[in-house]
Amino acid sequence: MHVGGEGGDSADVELNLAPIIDCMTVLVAFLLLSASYVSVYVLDANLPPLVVASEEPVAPPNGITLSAMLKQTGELELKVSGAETSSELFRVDVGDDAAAERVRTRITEIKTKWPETKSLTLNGEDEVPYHEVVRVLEELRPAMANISLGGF
Amino acid sequence: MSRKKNPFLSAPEQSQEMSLNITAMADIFTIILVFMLKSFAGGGVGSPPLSGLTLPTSNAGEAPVEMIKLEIARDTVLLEGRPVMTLSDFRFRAEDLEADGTSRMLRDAFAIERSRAPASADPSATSEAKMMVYIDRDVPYATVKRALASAAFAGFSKFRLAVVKEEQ
Repeated sequence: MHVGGEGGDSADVELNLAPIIDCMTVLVAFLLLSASYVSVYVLDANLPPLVVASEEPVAPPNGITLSAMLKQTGELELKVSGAETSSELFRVDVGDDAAAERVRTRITEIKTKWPETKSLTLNGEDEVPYHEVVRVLEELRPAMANISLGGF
Repeated sequence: MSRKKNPFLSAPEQSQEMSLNITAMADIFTIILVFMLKSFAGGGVGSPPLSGLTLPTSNAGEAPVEMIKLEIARDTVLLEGRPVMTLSDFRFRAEDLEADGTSRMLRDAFAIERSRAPASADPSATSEAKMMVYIDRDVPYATVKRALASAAFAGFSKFRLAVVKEEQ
């Protein structure tokens, strides 16, 4: 770079890269150390309104309450209570997409019959591992967007 | 008379200075820096979950945002990165539980965090406090229920469960 002025005095200005390299080295090292290499995502899960702690949610008048209980045996019990009462058992093993589809289809049938049904309460037995609850929650989500965690 | 090269005389010392061309190094560092900044900015969550905590996998999910963070690992429960209580192999100790199955220590910790949250202009939104929950995949559902019920006592009713993208 050439800086010129009047009278012909000029000075060559050289760009000193050393401090730039120093800064970049520190920044790269910092970012490498602080980077997280695991992609974390979130699933929404709400709790039913905590008015009175009860095992069974209160059914709306002339409507139904839909709940699902995940058992330690790997079975999912789909329960309808209120204006209609029913209980069905499904196997929801890992990788069994057909079984998951059957559950979703049944939920969709219930929603069609009872259009005011807007949520499902997912419960699990005490020893059911958390990752199973998450898996079932994710599998049921396409059929019911609003899924609450229950059992409180 | 030709001058012969005297082998006993050492060659004149050549300059030992080597000029290091750091232009290429600057280019590489710039590229690495831009790449790291880009991936850092798009990462989302500022602080990673507790090391040793294995999240469950999932195919679905949204990108997380910063909010109050609860972590449940094998031996400890952390709220906002601070240990609140200890667990025994993923489970609450009996002496830590109240008659209703919740934990007094957790409820108090949640209440303190809730009070720290900025007041919302909309009073009806006070019951919809959100919490980001990192729970180890092997935690039994009983522990999850007790922890979330303790949070519900402090007014937290909406939870965002942290999962790891399932490898396909």
